[in-house]
Amino acid sequence: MDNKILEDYLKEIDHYLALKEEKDEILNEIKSHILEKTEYEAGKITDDALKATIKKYGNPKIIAEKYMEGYQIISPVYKKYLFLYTGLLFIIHYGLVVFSAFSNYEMVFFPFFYIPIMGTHSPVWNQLILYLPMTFFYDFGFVCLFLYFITQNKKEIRLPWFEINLNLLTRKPVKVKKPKRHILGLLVSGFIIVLFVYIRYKTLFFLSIGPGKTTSLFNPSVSRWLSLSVIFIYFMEIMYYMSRFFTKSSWVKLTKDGLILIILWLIINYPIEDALVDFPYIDLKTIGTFILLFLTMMATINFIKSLIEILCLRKNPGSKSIHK
Amino acid sequence: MDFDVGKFETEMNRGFLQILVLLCLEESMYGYKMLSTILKIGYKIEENTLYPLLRRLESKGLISSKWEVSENRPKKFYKITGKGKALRKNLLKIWKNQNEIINNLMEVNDG
Repeated sequence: MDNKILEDYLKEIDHYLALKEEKDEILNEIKSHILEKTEYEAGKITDDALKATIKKYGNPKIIAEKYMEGYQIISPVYKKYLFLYTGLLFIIHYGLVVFSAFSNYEMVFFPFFYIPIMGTHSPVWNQLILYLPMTFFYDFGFVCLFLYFITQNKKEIRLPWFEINLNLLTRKPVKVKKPKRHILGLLVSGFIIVLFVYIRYKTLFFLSIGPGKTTSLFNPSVSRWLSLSVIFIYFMEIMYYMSRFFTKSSWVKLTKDGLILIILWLIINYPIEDALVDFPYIDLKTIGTFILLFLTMMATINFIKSLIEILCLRKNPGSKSIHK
Repeated sequence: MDFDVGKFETEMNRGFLQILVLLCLEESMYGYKMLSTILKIGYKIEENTLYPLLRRLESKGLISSKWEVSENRPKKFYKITGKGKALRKNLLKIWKNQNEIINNLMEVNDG
């Protein structure tokens, strides 16, 4: 008889049981029960008999769950607080990041956060984009930890609630505007024009357009690559709009937002600055950087919103998207 | 049928199992013995449901336990406490009342 089978089973239950004091007693009782049942039902304890009893006793994870019924890491009543507090903290935290990036000022609020400046070689938008997801994840984790302590405290604590009307924070269905055929027609017409311009001039970025000579903002290869990226993003927006006639699934939006974000990240990581043509009066580099930064920020926010929407739907299947 | 009866049964069983266990533990008994006794009187309770329930009842002071060696094996014996008996009395009163209401309603429905 190999007691290892039983020991391994108990070890797995032990792994899932997040209890401190009673753990050993629980495991001893399960062990005693399994041994007695095996002996009683099979006549003697053999590996096969033990395996059969263990199989009947059930999945270690489910057993641990039954012992921990009523035990919560974060109370469900704080679900709305989690998103609200994370949102508020994120606004403050990211505001400080923006301030730090533009003023070239390092900030330390030990032990809560540290916003270093990334050196003079790194552009401002690099720092802002890099800190966007990091700030969000940090703030989310911080609020989780706070709510965890509040839940474990067990005392009646009334947390402040700030009235902010966000669809994502309520159980109200997410409102999606019903798609309209004439808008789709306009979008497709625009797309055809964009395609025509690209085929005619091999770029969508113009420094000057004249009857005789048209100058592109970038050198030809970068210009082509950037133009195709814009066309691809435009195409995805049209496909998404079109999909809304057939499906209300939030996954389609999440996929679209994710793909746009990937395209923008590819653009950011491409050395576009070197491909800019010289123009004496305007600082094209700065303007381009700000436009790209703005678009990436918007895309990231959209992506996070879509992600939260999916998470909300998974938690509250009743709050499916509806057309206005 | 669209409904998963099992889920509703689990909900219904919560209170029922508590009364059942409190009734069984008039005399000292260990888990496996309790399962066999309940099975003999015509009800099957899953072992992985019984032990967590016993733990919850014990943490509320409704039953007490002690480890004893029986048949060369350490076993945990449970017994109802005074507090458990008082609660059992009240729960049975509630259960009888609910049973009566259901029966009356069923008679009305059956016309």
